[in-house]
Amino acid sequence: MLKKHPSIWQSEKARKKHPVPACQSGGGAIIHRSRYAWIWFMLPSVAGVVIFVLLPFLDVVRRSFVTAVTQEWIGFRNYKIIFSNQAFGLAVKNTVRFTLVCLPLLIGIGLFLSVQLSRLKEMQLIKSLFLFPMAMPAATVVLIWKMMFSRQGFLNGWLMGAGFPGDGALPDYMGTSAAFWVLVFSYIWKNLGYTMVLWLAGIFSVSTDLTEAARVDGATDRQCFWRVVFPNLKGSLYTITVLSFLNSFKVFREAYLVAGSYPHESMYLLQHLFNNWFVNLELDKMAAAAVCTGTVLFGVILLLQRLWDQEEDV
Amino acid sequence: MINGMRIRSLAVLCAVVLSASGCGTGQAGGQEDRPAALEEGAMGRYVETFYELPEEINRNGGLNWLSDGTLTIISFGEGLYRSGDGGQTWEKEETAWFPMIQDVYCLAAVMGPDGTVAASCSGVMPKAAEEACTQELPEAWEGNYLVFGMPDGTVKTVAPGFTQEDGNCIESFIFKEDGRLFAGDMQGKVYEVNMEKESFRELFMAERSVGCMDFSGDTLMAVGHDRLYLYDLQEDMLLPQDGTVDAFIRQALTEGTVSYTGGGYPLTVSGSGEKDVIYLACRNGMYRHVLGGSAMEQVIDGALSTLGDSPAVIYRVKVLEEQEFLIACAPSVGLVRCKFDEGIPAMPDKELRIYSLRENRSVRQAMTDYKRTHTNLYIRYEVGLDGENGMTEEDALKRLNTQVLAGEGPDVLLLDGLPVDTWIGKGMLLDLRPVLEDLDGEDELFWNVVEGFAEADGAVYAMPVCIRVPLLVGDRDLVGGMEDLESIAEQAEQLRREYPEGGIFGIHDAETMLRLFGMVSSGAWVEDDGRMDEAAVTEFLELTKRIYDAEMAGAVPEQVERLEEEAEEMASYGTDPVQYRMEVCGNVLRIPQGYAAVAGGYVDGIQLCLDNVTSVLRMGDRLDYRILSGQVPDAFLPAAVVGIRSGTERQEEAEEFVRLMFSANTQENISEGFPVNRSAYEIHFQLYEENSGNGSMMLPMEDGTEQEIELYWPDQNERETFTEYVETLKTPVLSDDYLCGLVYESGVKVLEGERSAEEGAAEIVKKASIYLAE
Repeated sequence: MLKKHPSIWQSEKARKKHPVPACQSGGGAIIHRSRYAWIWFMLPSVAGVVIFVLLPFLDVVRRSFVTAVTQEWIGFRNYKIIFSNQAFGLAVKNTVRFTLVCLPLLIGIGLFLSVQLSRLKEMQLIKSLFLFPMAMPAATVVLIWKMMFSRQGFLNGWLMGAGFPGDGALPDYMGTSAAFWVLVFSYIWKNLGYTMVLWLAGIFSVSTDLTEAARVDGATDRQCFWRVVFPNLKGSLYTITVLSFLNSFKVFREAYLVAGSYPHESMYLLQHLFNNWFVNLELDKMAAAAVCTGTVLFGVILLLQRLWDQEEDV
Repeated sequence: MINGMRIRSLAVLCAVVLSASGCGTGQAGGQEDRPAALEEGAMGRYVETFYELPEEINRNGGLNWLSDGTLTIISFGEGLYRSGDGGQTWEKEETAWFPMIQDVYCLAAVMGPDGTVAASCSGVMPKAAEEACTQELPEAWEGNYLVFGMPDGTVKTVAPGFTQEDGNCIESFIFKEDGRLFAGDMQGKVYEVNMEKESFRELFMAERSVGCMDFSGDTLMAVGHDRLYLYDLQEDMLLPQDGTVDAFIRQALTEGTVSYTGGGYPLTVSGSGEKDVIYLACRNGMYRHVLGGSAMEQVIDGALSTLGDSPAVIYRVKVLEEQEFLIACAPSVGLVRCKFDEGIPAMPDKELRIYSLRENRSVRQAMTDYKRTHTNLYIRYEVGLDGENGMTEEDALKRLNTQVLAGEGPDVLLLDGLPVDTWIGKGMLLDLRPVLEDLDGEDELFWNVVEGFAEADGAVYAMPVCIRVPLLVGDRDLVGGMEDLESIAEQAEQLRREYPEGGIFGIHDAETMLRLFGMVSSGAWVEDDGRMDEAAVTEFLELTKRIYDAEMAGAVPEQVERLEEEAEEMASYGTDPVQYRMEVCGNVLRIPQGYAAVAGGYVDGIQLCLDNVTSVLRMGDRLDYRILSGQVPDAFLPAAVVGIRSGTERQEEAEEFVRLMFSANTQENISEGFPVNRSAYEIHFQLYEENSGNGSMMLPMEDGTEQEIELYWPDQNERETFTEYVETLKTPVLSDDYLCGLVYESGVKVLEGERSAEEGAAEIVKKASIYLAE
């Protein structure tokens, strides 16, 4: 015979005496347990973040105030050094430029193509194909990149075939400032499909009742999109922006594989600098730069969230 | 119920954590781990006793065990040596058969239990061998012939029918205890040889030539490149493969070779007194296996014995009774007797960690010497780039840095390829001066080299084990005026004015020209404050272009074509032709060939290097040489630069190890350059008698004919002259590969006239700015 736990028995009796809505059900020991149950769910991830992120970052902060090997306290000297360091300045400039160019392009192109594709009936079938670039191994991407953009690559071959350039001088895309745009192209190609899938998910989640109602009221397609669909995509926009921002750091892998530690200066990113500093044991500079970069990134994400919250309130 | 769920959840969590932790145990890099199988506190380990071989023994046929208990070694160049006390002392013996193998290329020579000798040689038969030949051979016959020396003193020579055109010859022999002789040829055939009837009975054919052979009872064992061949001599049939041994061989013979031209093997097989029990020895250690069984039991760990050291090529292993082995290694190591000692810990309690980016013979040699006197210290040698895991140089450096930051860095480092200035600048290296100052008497060093590495405060944080010396060879007046890069350019232009046609350096490739002079100039390109010296780079490009232009202005198309063909041929053999032209030993031969008036490059040894230079000098009264100076005066090229990590817990042992690396005994065997130890340097010159013939070379001449050049070992005058030059060297050139790469890349465009020297230098400085600014 099934025996009930005394506390459950008591709570059932109490519920009969003082009925409560279903969502607040449970009394006595059950209420006590469910109130703190979230701790157990949170604990592993919080512990992981503390052990693997926060504590190491605190150690990085400490290292930014000491010498690399002897660990002598030197105050803000490392910060002074990195802010007067030409390589750090260039890397920050390129990284910011890359982010500012790539993010709007990716988000804008992704949204435009998603809206066009959302009208297709076969959309659900071909959606998974958009993720193909994400599944491509970095080595393959690099190989294609080299075949495409080297001096003797396909691009120059096609241009030559079309009669460009007239003087026969073939540009080396990776050895000139065009390298930056090659990097931008690579980033957008790789992340566009994923971004479109996210946009499409957002677009399909907007209720057709709303758009149909708008049409009945005489709204044009453009008005339907900007006044009805787009305001409902702001949740997706935040997610896509943050993910694209974080993915922009991953482009270093391809850049490093194709051009090594010292690429053309237009595509020299913060990750190149950190990588080279680690090889040369410049850990003090690296720590100071990491603290600065981390602070800026944290600030940007907080800013984005704040902007988003303000929009929500409006 | 809830408790049960919690326990299950905990168990799942533990399993996940444990499995995840298991993911990180893979080793990258060539790290030799402490044997993990040995339990803490376990006792018993093999202890090695070393017996030296006579100094004059070089290439030899390996160790032979005779039925009377004596040991013999047949040295291909010296003859028979016999030991009556188990290898501790050796005496040379005169024999009737030795003149027949002397002065020809000997491939194998063994002595049977009764003293019968079988040897295989290749080339033109010496007169003594010709007289003892039992066959009628055509005049001027050349090929593979065998020499059989009987215990009664009679000798006969036999030609097995292999000619030079076949490309085949007998390259290994083995005597069975009952006196039967077996042989293996280069094509993989294994024969039983009847010396009396002079006949060969083919037993089986291996896929490729076989290496070490031995017997387990009546089974003939032969090591192939990927398997062990087993042949039953009673049933006269090849036995089925032993899969366990075959898998072991495939793993151990990663290079796929089964023998060395020096006579030794990377892997040996030996039978034992126990039925079907065999022993295999290789760099990983000694392994016991029962034929047909599925286990390979490691009885000696390579990391704890001489077997793990690269100079220790194995010639033969004799399994003695009572857990003992006698291992015949390369002559530089000698004989090693391994005996199990139950009274010592299975694992030494101390560890000395050594690191180099690439495998280094000097370190291996020092390890071998160090192990002899430090049996209670485990040496862990980590090679950053062992070529097996696809690791790049940068990956290896990151891995090393991680170890250093985790407090697990090596105690002794070879700094070649490492950012030496960073290591010194960050105070990560100990001052070696006290260690180096301890070296006196026979261990005295070239102090001009030491002082070249001294910092402003006198400390020496890094020191090369050996050096390469850049030389310039040519007409006395011509090279006499070539004091630096500018005067080299002037002299080259002057020479071109005098001789409108013909080679000056015989170098028609812009990159090779840049690398040759960059080798002795790159130290001048970076200023003390870490900035690129644009003026110095511009000057380098201008002067090198002047030399290149002078060279190309009178280049003879046929010569250029011939040299290009040579370079292509060299590349097809896997030799980098540009790197080859950095060595003077090849370049100097262009002078008698008529392709060049001057030769530049470095020398890193005497044999086939400095003796090339001195032999060419003997061909003409007007020829002379001097130190090649570029923008850095009195420059030398250091190799195997050593340092000790500051903060090491094993400072005393590390210092002792470094002291050993610079000692005369260890430096005697250096082959990557000239030793910095004076005694070892002298010993290098004493390898052969002065003026003795050291072979000859056939040089294809400009007119299509061939000229023979006799090579002579340098005499006292030549040695003294060279030593005087070595003593004048002051400045080490530790080239920065990245910066040099930039200079050579842009420099090619400058030399080929695509841009001016100023433009090229500006481009280099711009490209280097990020690198230097970091």
